[in-house]
Amino acid sequence: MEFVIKQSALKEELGFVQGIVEKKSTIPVLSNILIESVGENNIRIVGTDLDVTIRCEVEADIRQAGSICVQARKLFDIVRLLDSGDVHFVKEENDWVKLRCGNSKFRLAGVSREQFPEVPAFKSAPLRLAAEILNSFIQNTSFAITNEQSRFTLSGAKFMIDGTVARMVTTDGHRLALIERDLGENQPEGMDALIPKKALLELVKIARDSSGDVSFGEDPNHIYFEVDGRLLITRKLSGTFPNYEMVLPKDNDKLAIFDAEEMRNAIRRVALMADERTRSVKLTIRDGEIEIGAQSSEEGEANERVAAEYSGDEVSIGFNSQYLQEFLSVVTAAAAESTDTEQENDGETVRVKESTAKPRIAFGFKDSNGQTEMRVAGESQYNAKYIVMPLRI
Amino acid sequence: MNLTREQLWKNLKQGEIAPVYLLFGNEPFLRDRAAATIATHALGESAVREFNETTVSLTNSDGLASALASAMQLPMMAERRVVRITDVRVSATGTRDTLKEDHEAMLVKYLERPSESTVLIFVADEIDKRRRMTKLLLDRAASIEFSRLDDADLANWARREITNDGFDIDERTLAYFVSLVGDDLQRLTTEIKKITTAALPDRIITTDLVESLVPSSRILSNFDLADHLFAADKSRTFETLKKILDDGAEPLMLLGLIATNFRRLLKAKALMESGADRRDVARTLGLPYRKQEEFLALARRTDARRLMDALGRIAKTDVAIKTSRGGGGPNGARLQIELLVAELVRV
Repeated sequence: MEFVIKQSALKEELGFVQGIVEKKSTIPVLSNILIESVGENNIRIVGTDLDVTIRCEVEADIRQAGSICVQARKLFDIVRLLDSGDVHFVKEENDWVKLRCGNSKFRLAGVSREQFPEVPAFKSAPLRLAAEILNSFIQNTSFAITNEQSRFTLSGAKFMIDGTVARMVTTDGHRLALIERDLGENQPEGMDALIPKKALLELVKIARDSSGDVSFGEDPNHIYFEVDGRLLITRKLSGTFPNYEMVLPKDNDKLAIFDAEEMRNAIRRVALMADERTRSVKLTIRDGEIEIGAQSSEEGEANERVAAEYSGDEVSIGFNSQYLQEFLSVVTAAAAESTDTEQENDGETVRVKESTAKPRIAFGFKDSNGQTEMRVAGESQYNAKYIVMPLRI
Repeated sequence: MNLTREQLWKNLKQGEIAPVYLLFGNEPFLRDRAAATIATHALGESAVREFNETTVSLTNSDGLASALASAMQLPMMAERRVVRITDVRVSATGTRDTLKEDHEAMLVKYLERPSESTVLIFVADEIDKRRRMTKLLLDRAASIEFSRLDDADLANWARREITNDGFDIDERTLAYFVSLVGDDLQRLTTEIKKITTAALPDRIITTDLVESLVPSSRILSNFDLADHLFAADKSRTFETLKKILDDGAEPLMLLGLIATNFRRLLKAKALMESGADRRDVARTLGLPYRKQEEFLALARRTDARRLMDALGRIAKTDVAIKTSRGGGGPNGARLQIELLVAELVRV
């Protein structure tokens, strides 16, 4: 095989594949990527850990068709340090690869293409979702996925398309994140699948900068996502996601509204004095304010007040500060990225800036023991909820 | 509070669930099954069980903090939450500890006021009862030890498992079955599944069925024969030897195994005499932890000259087998090994 490719284009595509490739795999060939020619003007780059596969196509001048299989990390490290310009690849005997760019020359040990695993064949992807929506879904839920390996069905997100509604739910048994959005039109097919966390995080990387749609589809074992010519194939998680609807609070009769960033910063400061075991902070909600307090018998204590719209009985609720911070960080980070959205205006579609600069949180609760619910206050095209169980205080 | 296994089942049936349990012992199958049973009694089979059951391994550096943070969390739409802490080790020397004395303050704080809505289960692989962390748990938790079952209990246990599933087995077949499988309950469970499946549709387990399906898996470790030999337990030594040879063990391989153990004893003596501590001796000889104390005591009290004589006698047996002295074929080799063991058991 022999081809020439722009350094910048190759660097970008190799970057997408790095997250998939296992650095310390028990199957050595999985630390390699496969590069093969597609026609006369493209190469295809494939990386896999057998559960998640990414396949990218990029323009190149193919001088001689074929394939090479080389260490992913080493190639990426080399390519990103090369000068911009053309990179010339030639496959030599015994699967060695010669790489030349300007005055730099490398020879890389490769492995034979036959050793590289076959990746699942791409099936149809009849469903579509704007990349921006999918990113938003993942960012608003992935942080609540469990890290416990034994809780297999919770180690990913439940993703559903039902009629016009798309929904994603994650939980670790202590909190639950749910986001849904009405897509406005019926989807040609439904979907109800569990997507592993690793696949979600890689999907965000390839869809982050896309302004287009993500096409996706499934077969009994895999889900396929395609964004701007890049394909991500993931094995589905098997098992049944717990009945999350049962834990959505239905009788929370108290509501406090506060500024997300102000609360996040206050919790971050106060949590410095939280008990190392529980990371617990106590929120005391009273007329016009929420007082956040924490104490550690060895280190001391802290408290801070945040203004809040609330009138009612004073209630104190304990929380794992990390659970609150993660949610508030996602909300404030999303607000910082002001987004263009399309809206109908007098029959015409216009692009407008959606101002979410100062998000406020609507915090629903009943007492010190029941599930609490947080969501961004005000109108939104998304219905996003975050359910957190309190800590015993 | 120490509980027996029977007391634990009785309490669970009566709905008495302790806030903290310590499950330990050298029978991991029963221990793990008990942890699962406690969780089932605490949580029931509700639709939200998945939300309220957490397992944290102490092999993670912040495992205990995470587990206790989970334990402090109120349950989701349920009466209780269950947090299982696995890979708990408090070893005699401290080298394999996962529950460390650094954790004491954190643990004491929780144990002084355990969450009423949480059942915290410590599933211990290894505990040394002399260590402070163990004493703390034994003192504050409902603790249950799961020891290996003896032959009578094994038979009762297997009978219960078999008959509960609606199968019949007579006492003689049961005893034969248990003698083949040995005292590993995990293995016994697997073999029960195998023979009960094969016994369908009649649901009668016969000796022929056991014979055809169950391999003799009283797998003798490098120490089993040697244990009886060194303990000068003649009847067990010959019983074990007969079993090994009847199971088709190669006499020369068995001879090698016996020689290895005598060489180890000699090496242990030499190391101890040169001032090596127990840990070094154990590491050099690759002694399994549970055998260390016994083995080193034996090395201490056995005379080095007698060990040398024994090795000389083993070498002669090796020559005798290889030259077919005393008769060729498997019978001749068997005879040589039996003569050797008869002499060694007196060493």
